[in-house]
Amino acid sequence: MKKYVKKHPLPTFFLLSLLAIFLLPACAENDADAEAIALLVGNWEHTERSIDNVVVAKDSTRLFMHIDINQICELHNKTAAAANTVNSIKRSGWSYAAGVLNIAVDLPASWVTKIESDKLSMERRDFSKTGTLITTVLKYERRNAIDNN
Amino acid sequence: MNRKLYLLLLPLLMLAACEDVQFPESNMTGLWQQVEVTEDDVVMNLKPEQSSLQLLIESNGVFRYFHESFARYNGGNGPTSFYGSWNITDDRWVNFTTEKWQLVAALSNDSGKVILTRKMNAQNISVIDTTATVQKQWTRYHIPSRFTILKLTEDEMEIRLRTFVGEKKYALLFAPDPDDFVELIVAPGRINYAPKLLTDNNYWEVFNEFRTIKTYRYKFRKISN
Repeated sequence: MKKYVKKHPLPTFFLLSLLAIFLLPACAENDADAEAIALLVGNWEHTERSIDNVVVAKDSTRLFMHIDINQICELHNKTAAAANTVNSIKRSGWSYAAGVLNIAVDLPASWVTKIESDKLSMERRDFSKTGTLITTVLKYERRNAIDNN
Repeated sequence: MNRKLYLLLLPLLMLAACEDVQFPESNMTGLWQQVEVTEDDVVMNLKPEQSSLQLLIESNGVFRYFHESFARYNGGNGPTSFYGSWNITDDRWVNFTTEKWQLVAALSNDSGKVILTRKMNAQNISVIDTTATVQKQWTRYHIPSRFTILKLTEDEMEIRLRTFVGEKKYALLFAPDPDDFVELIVAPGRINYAPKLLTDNNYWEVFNEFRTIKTYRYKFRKISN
């Protein structure tokens, strides 16, 4: 093999290039997912909710969200009524692929996400009773820790 | 020599392996409006509740769909949104999982008549308990149906399903005829629909529908991504 490579450097280069052309795009997609997953992990505070571009009250069932690397997340209900009760934390599984975040408790709806280092935007679409699509956007900001007070 | 031959053949093999995908999954995702359904190449007359069907297909392998076949249930607040999973296999088939019902209605051993559950009404008269009977006559399950993809572009989709009439009719494939289903009186939050009540008048007709094969074509137009 070594002899062949030394003797025919051009065909070898051609073959390796072909391999790279086919394999690199798949790797690039995986890299993008891995990068997004690394950014997703952490503590997030809910800052805004909008429905069809109109800002509405925040979603009290997930005022804080903790996303753990082990595919488990916690949705914290920090309203006064729920704080310090067993119902204040809902645990769920999560997964992420190709820009879509699945939180098990929200399925079958998935979230199309935009992630920056300290900002997270999650968008989902649902049918209304009349068949129109309703778009809900939740915005989050990264926090070092979840405020338990 | 053999090794060199393999190396020379490698690019050809790779190109063969990377043959163009005819029906890319990316074309599936988005919001689709049903345009037409045919049964053995005859256009079906759909009720308005069925014609309103829309599919919202998402890239995570889940799809949701909207129809109004059960909208009048629960005092006009019946379910209109349903869901399942989807995937494309072999660049040829698309599989959708939906709710289906299996016919399990029992007949009396001695008379051969359909067994019905009865209850006493307010006037103390024995009447058929539709909900209790229907729940014993049908078993609900969630299972994939494999459609052949006939056309899948960025704005048009045509898929074909060859199946038993009953398998399509008493299933959420995708919007059933409201006359083929009944409302179940159950606790809030429970599934409140099922295929119609079977009696001696319609049992054999429905029985035969599960033994008659037909071909269905569904056409959809994309509304948005």
